[in-house]
Amino acid sequence: MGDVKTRPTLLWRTADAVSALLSPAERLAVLGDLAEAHVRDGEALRDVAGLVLRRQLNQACSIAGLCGTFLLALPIGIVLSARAQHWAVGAGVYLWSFLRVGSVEPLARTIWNAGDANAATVAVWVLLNAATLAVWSTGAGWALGAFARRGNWIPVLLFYVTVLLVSMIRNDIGVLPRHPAFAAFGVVATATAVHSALLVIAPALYGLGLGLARRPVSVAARVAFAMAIMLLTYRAVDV
Amino acid sequence: MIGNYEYLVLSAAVRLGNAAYGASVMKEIAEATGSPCSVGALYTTLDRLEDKGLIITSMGDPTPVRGGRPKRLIRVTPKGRREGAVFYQIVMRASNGTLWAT
Repeated sequence: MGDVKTRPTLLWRTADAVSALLSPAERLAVLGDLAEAHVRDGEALRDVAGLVLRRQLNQACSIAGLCGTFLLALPIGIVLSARAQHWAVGAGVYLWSFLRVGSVEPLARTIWNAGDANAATVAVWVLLNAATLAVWSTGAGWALGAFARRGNWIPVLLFYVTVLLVSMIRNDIGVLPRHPAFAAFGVVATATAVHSALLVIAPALYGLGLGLARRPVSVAARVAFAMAIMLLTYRAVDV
Repeated sequence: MIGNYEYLVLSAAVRLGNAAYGASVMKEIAEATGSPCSVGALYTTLDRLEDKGLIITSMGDPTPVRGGRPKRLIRVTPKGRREGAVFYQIVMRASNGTLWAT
């Protein structure tokens, strides 16, 4: 769709890529005007970026944009990343315990008072948490895709920024001793990063792709997805 | 009342008539003002003028010189012509008797 064949420079390719954030009709008209006016590649990139920025700010200030940001992107981003970190602490400490003493039972029995936990039940707990995060994040990405499909990308951007910031700022591992000898600290930090990256950001990107796709998702897939969300959320309430 | 840049776009579109579209209006404005016209400024102004009912835009046919892309054609409405005329009259009255040469 772009003019990369006739102007195969990096700047023009970048301008062409950035223009994808405009509506399809406007994108063609803008790139056509820039090509016809023989605007230099750097200026073309600046012009397209400026137009995209204006369009995005206009959309972000609209009712739909504000709802997408303050009712969807920010709260869900905060909840998902906080929940990811919370579960990461559990998974990380259990993992550390297993690696350290070959068992999770003392930890579960003494510190967390979690009853007769063994490696198998902890593994199931970790996997179900992971599945819950992945399903929730896919759903969030899917919903954000509806905004992106209308050219409203600010809520999408804010969602990912929120997830990254909350994952870095919030610090559940503060409840653990900070002595360097306490190796669980590093395990938990790693688990937090993995949870946020693999179980929130990656599924949300997949969901975003679903939301952006023109082809409709089958009814059976929608029902299965809704059931998965419902069941996993029901289980997560007690966790 | 319309703004300076809106007046530039409107007057360029009136001069160009059926040949008024993005690139041609940018060229007209650049020649009239002596400084380049950015596509971002033009398109946001076109949206504003269209919202005010001063112009109507539509997509034209693709042309080879534009890499097969269509034009955004611009047509000034009667209301747009009136607003342009009002702005022109105001500038003329405000400028009456004013000597800018130093």
